Amino acid sequence: MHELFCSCIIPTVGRATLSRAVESVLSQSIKGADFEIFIVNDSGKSLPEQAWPDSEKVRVINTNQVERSVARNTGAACANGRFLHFLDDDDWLAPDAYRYLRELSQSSHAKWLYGITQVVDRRSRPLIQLRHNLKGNCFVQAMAGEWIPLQASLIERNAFYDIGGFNPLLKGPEDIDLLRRFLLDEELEEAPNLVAYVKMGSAGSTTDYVQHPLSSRQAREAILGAPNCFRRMNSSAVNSYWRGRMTRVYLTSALWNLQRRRYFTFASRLIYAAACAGIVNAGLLSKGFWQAVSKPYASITFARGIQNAGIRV
Amino acid sequence: MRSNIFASYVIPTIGRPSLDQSIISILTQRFPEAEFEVIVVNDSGKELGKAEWQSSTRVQTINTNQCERSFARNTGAAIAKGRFLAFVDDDDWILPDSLSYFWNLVQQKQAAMYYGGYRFVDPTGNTLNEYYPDESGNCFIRFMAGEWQPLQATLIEINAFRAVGGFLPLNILRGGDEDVDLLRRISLKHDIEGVRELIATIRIDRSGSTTNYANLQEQSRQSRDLILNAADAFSRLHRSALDRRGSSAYWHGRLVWIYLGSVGWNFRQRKIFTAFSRLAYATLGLFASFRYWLTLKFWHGATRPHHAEGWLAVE
Repeated sequence: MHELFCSCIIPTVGRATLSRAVESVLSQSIKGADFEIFIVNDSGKSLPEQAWPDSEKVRVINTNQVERSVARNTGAACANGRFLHFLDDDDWLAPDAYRYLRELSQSSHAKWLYGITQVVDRRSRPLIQLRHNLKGNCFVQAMAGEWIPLQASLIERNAFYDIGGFNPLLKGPEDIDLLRRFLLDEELEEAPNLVAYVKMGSAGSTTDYVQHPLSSRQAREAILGAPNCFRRMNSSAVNSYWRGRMTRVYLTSALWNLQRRRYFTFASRLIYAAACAGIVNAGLLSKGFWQAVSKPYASITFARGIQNAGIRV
Repeated sequence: MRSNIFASYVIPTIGRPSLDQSIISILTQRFPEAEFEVIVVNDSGKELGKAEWQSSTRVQTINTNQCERSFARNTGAAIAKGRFLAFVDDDDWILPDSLSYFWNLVQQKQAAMYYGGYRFVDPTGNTLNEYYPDESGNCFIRFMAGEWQPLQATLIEINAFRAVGGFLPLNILRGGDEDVDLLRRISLKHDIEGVRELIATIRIDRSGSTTNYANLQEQSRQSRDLILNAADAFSRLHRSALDRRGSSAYWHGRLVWIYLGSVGWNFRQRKIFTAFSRLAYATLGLFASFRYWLTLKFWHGATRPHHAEGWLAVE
């Protein structure tokens, strides 16, 4: 019997595009290894008629309208593969995605593997490609706002359990939160190949964009309270720009806590911010540091993607 | 999905032979008033042996892959269709009228969590002890002080369970105490009602237990400290202490004790600022209790460890 390389988990609210997602996984070319698919039907209704070929690789779990994170955790609890792959019902995989990622798993010990994402619009027309260039410990980059789509990622199953899976209390950025909590102890590896097609845009999305900023901030606060957070961020801040970002993370957190009258946490964050600036010392004179401290983060990955696609903003 | 299912019993199992008895104790409930279901979460990583209950339309089995208790229970809860959830372990069983008692209580009293009496037995089935509910309403401070209530004898409203995010993963709680942690987080927001009837029988056999008792203190401390971070924790604790009529002095003392305990814990974790924040709350608690300063009970509460009633007797 082949190794069960990965378990693909597709939570669905019953969109018609589910078939395309399932078929894109079923048609993966991957030699010497196997995979399984869990469709987590959270729609509260029966699924639309199955349009993909019958396969014993596919299993359906019916959850009772529990929302995305619980649905994904449910799929993950049932999974048997070495890696977990979370796909959405309106996205799909590139034909050789699992083959590329499996090759990467044979040369790397990282527990989160990912490849290039092609972002498409609501009508599935290509927009930009996301090439993240994030490898190893990229904690400060994730804390600043970098994000890797789950659709293009494989996460080792036990590492996922160790961090407790998705946080069901977050409304929105649960994928970024998962990446951050993962990076507190673990590392990333990137494949130079296109692996996933991901839809973007708020229309028809299940993401709660209203709750998003508050939820994102609360999740970040919980991570800043972790005992190894400062050390981990410091070792991923490789130049004065990223030390500036790190300082900004603590400064914005200080302000947020002050607004909520959490004075002790405010003071603690302020001291950490000062410590970041202290570590930089000579870097305090660099332009990069002050740019990073003074401006909100704009994703380098997106900027690069937009530039390469020749889109003028 | 609207359904007329009153309760969903979730039973995570590691494949103990006593599972059959647990399931049968639910399937044989004397309860004609509404529907109920049993969700067996097989986390053993193996196939379960053939059994008669597998043909029951009330039972659903879901296979998880040795992913730990909290994940397994949350998985069962995610597929549950009942208005209420109950969690029974594969070595415990419930009494024939449990659901009926709960049903009557739910018709009479409004709460997010209902509980009843429970009996401890040794591995051979001999009764060790029995406990019955004696409190209702805002019981937050009791759970924060170390009181315990077995899930086996508790019914939890499904929306309240979901609103707190279900069971916390064991790693976050340093290995366990996730059951009391859930009760604490629910009672932070909601009230509780009890019925003075025997609901469940719990087998105590520490040699075969999946619970890690070695660092129970640390697990409990971690759980309580995470909850003390909630913005409304202090006011809910204070309200709960005020509501303990007749023993309010003692519980005000406990309020101070809870925060003082957290001061020490945070100092040891080198979370100096959190320690100072807790100290400020302990001081606030002290001032909020000024009318009890002359009572002995207050100082007992504030200076001595709490002796939980329903649990320590079997230590």
